[in-house]
Amino acid sequence: MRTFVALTVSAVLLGFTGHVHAARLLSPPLPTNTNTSGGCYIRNTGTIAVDVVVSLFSNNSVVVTFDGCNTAPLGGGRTCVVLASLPDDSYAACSVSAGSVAKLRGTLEVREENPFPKTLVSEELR
Amino acid sequence: MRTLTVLATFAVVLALTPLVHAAEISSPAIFGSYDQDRAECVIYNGGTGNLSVTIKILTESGTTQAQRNCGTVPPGEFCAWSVGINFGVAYACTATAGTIATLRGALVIQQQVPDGFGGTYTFGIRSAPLR
Repeated sequence: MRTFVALTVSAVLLGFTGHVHAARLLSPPLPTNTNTSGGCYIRNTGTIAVDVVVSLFSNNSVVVTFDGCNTAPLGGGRTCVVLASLPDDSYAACSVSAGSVAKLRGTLEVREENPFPKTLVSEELR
Repeated sequence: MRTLTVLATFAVVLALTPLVHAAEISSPAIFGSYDQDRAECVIYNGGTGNLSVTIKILTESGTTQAQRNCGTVPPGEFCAWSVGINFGVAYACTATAGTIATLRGALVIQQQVPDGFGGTYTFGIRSAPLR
């Protein structure tokens, strides 16, 4: 009887307890047009370096032109960026995963490439 | 004892059954410029399960300008809808789904310009997130 009650309580607690996931921030998706590029900026507002996994992705192929995020831990107070050439008439978004994202801030920017890079729209990761 | 068993079974079933609510994320109403031509609302399923999503683009008075039933949106997939808009009005977007915890969305106000080859292309001039 005691075991039964304990199992029941455990099941109830399990039902109310959220699953543990690797923490992640995700941007809203933004549409692209022709000759657009994307930039995903991640800033560590804390004081301790954080291992981050940053992905700038689309529903079509993305060509990453610069990756300053996934090569080394992101130091406290530092900002890294992933830049990419975005496919035409598609959608792009950005995510960052880390052990904790409490001190991380991120921005996805969609830019017009020619004649010079110019940010058209941007959204924050949350 | 029978009552306890029934209650215990009910509690276990309740705990293991996900709660189903129709939930909504919305953008603010935004205005781009007098050159604005289109509004595009995009959503992304950032979760691990399918989501049934409906998108609405609204005028500033709350009238539905356009609606799209995306149907089932698998994890990692996008859905969007675009509509022609007036130049002097703000627009908003809403997306409804069973759960919105991992649903992301944005409304983008766009402008069309000649591409130099007899056609046009569209670029965003302002955006706002759905929350």
